[in-house]
Amino acid sequence: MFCFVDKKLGLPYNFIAMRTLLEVQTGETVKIAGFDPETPKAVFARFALFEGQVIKCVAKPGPVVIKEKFQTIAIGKEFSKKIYVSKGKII
Amino acid sequence: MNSKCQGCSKCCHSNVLDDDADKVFKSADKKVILVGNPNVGKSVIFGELTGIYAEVSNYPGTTVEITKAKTDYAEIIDTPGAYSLGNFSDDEKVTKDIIEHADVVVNVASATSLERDLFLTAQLIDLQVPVVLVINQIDEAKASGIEFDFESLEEELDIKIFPTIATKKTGTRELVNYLKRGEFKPSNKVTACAKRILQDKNLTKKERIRELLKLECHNLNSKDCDELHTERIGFVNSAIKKAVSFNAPKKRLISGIEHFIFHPVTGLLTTLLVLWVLFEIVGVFISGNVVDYVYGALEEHFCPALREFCAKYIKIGIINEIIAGEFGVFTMALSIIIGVLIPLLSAFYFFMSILEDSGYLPRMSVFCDELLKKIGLNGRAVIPLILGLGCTTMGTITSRILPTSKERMIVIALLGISVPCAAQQGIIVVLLASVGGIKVWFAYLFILFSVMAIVGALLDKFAKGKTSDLFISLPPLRFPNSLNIVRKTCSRMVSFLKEATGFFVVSSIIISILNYYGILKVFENLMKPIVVNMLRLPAEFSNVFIMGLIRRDLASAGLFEMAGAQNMTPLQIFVAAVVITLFVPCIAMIIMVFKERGTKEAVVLWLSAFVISICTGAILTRICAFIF
Repeated sequence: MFCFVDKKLGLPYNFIAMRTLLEVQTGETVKIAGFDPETPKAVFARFALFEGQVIKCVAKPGPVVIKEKFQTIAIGKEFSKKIYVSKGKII
Repeated sequence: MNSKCQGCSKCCHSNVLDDDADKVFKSADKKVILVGNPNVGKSVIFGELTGIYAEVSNYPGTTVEITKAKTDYAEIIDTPGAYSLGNFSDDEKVTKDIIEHADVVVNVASATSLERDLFLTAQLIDLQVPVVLVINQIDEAKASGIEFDFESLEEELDIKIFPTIATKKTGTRELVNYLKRGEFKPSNKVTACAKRILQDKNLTKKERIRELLKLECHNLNSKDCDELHTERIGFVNSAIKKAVSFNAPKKRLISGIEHFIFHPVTGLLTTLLVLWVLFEIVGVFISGNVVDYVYGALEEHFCPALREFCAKYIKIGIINEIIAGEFGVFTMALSIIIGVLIPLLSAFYFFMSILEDSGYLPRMSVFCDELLKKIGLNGRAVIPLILGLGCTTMGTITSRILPTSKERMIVIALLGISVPCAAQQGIIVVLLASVGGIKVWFAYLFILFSVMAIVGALLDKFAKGKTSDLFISLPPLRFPNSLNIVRKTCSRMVSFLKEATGFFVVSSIIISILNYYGILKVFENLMKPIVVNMLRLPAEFSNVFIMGLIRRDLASAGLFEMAGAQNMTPLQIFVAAVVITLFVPCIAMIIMVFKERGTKEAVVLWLSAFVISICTGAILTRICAFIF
């Protein structure tokens, strides 16, 4: 799918106003809106993280600990910055 | 810890990174390859298929090598856990390289993380190899409110599915019978993208696999690869939607503990509590009761009787020295093994097994991530470091779970310099408990952590390469399975005794001969400037150095003997304990470092450990008197 990219930030326009996973508060439920276009999708798909997936932030002891339907995943700060989220529904 | 089955001659372990995979799989037997994400129970399934115990734990990375075993119907191969067949880690490379040899792939998935695990299944289906899906841990999924319609899932994926609870042997018999029948066929649910990539190419099975994996390993950012992943995600989601339902999970007491572990204050308190319990069990209970009784009995009754017997009947000086002398095979080596190491190590391994199986270690990885970043590592490094407390050589092998060369180098350096192995730690806990209790042990740990922090920070600053970011799936917290705890403790004890007894006996013979001919005295005089002047320890401590060159636990055993015989002061025992902990890596570990990191790094590590241990000891002996 074609999308416009901000040359300065290197990001698609629809991500610029969005939060990254790192900015999500503990206890908040969000929906994955997209990933950093520079990072291969496989990096996230291997952990069943994909666009549209609803996740809950359960702790932030440095890395972000998230829970989806099946599993709990700990994501380091750098990777958390590469995941864009929008408000999700409660799971 | 890797998955070596202990004490059996039926299986063997190979490192496909070093060997050519074709050579490893030259036999004509039917090949059943176990593949799956980390921590889904592959090693338990391997045990069920082969009757061999492979070590099982509740953290990703238990298996770091492939393990093979022959059965009457096939050759079964257990692989390290991999989230996909790619180039993301050595585990994935190993698995990717052997997949083309499979007659059938047994894809083990966890029912508690099926959505993630089916991504690998989809990749295997695209490779068009026959796949059998084992969905393990269905009891835990049920407790989490997840229900499955296996028939519908079979239809969706077009592969045979076996739901199992491997630890209770539920469902595994059916799997064995199916594998024995040997009627396997690939699924026809290959994604349209994979079909398109491979179409019009008249390829053999091996070529087909190589072609597709080449794309996924080397062209990750390509349009084809992106399309392939998008299609697989859609395929998995559609299968999950049709065959899996979610109900509200039952609240489990153990899941509440998770919040405590991740909280900065309670997480730290939990770690301190774990250390305190370890000290109370090993340093107080086992040392004060079992070791005192068994070792005391050997020292009071067995050794004097043996010396008397030798003096009366053998009468050949050197033989007497070897059997019953100060460093004799029976009076030192075997007495220490039976009286000290067996009770201490059993307790230590038992305690570590509980920690491993409860799922606490990966949570500790998350908790320590920020701290470890300051020394160029990420939280995953906790696993080889903690496993190094069992055996530093095993910790060195497990460092392969770290993705970058720089991280592996830092972890190996820390293991070689500042992490004591279980046998050494057990003896040191006993020694330090006798001179000042838990206060002195915490001071000892503080010094080790300080050395670790300084070495790590320097390596992070000056070593080339980059540090990776943490990205791990956390296994569920569990009450450990008591049978597995006992089996693991026993298998580790057998492994330790097999490896260490020979070393202890041979070293004791060599040192006895050196002692008999007065060579130890010459060495003592040579080492005097370091041992007496710098470290302010008795000159005889140089003998402990010789033992330390062979094995660290042997050096601790030597110190244990010497502490009583030489009337060492508490400060001297403390300094000596730190020095032998930081002293050079044992022979087994340094061989492994040669293999993993090359000659230059191994030599630098050895020399650095020597210098650091002496310098630290020299400083401590001058400033630490206030502790006592």
